[in-house]
Amino acid sequence: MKLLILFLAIWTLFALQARITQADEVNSCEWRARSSDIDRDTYSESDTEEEINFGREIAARILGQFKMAGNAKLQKYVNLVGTAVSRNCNRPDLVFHFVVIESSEVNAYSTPGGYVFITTALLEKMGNEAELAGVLAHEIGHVSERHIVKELSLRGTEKSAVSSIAALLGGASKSAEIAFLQAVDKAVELILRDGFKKEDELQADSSAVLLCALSGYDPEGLVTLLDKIGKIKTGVGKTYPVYDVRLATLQKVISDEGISHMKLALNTERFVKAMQVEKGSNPLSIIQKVISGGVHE
Amino acid sequence: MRINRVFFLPSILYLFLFAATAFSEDTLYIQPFRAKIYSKPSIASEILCAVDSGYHFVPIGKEGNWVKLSYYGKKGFIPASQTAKTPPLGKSSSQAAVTSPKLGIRARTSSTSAVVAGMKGLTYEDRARVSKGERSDFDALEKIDALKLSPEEVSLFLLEGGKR
Repeated sequence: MKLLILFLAIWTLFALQARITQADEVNSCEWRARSSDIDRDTYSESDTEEEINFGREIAARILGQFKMAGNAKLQKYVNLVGTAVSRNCNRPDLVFHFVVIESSEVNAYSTPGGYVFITTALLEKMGNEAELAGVLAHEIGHVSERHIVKELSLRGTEKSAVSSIAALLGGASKSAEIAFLQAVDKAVELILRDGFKKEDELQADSSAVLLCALSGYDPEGLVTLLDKIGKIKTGVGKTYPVYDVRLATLQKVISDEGISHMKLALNTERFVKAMQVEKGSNPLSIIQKVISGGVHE
Repeated sequence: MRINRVFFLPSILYLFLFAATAFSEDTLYIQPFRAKIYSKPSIASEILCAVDSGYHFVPIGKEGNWVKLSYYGKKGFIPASQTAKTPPLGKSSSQAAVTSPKLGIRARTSSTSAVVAGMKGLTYEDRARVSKGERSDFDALEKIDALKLSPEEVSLFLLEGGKR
């Protein structure tokens, strides 16, 4: 009997030690841990449903301000690139939608639940499919990490993030209804005007590198595009972290993951072809733009 | 003697249950649609095989942001970010729904939340007031929802792009 108790006591101590070691490892890689072990375990299927419903309201608002680009072939192409990347993300509970919207602003937006918007102006700055995949992966990062949901529950614990929206959706009072719509307003303002906080942007960048590489796209695409946009420095949210910081973060993740020497796809030709469809003519100007952008296949 | 027995039996039960819980929590579930298993903790290493969403395993180690596992006798690595301690959640029905209940002018949207709001009696005037007159386009949203891609189309697209 005593031996049995001794054995069980040792086993328990061993289990405790294993858990402490695991906790230390989690602390050392926080940005990944948030997306895997700790955070996601606190959500349920009904939380996802409420997150999607909330996101749809925001998406409809965005569509109220920006017109969808009319070219069906281009819409399908962007949707294919985004869906291919989203297959590797940690949110199999979501159906992602990738949409081109007409705007002179160089930007991309995403809503909870998986609606991702990219402006025609940003598409025009791109030279290959890897750059497009990089932007879409960055937005997928915001969605899968529930950045808006967390930001709106404001500075509450991560466990309470979705519950706040659930309470708003489930609330029976008039004030709850108004609070819900005010939350939608706030989210729209955050997406279209204020932007995400710096940590969220950097986390989305880090996650985009991994997503691109896992999907077979060269994560340097996001680097080259950010470099181009950084030089223009127009049409971006006011809280966007300084481009140099973002570029340095991207390069560090690429190096840490051992991706820098990999030959991953840029798919310049396919991208140029898709953009020709968008323009309807003048493929020469697109090719010139690709060459001047210094993009290599 | 009786006191000892009263003390020992619950202790054994407690210790056993605690230890069992601690170990069962170590099981991890694959989250993405399909995840690749690599020979080393690096995306640049050889891909050994791929496992489907929901596959679960007990990790045999951890290296940085990678989890080590054994799969049919092969030892490999998978990014920790593609795993979780809970099974992957299923696709939500709110996105899959093609049609939605129509409740007159107040519920012209396809969104459940809007339907809920409509059923609660929130008028368009109320919505306009709290929304600072912002316009929503649910017709466009429905068009977006209708743009569905089959898994085969996506796989073919990836294949044509030469991605592994």
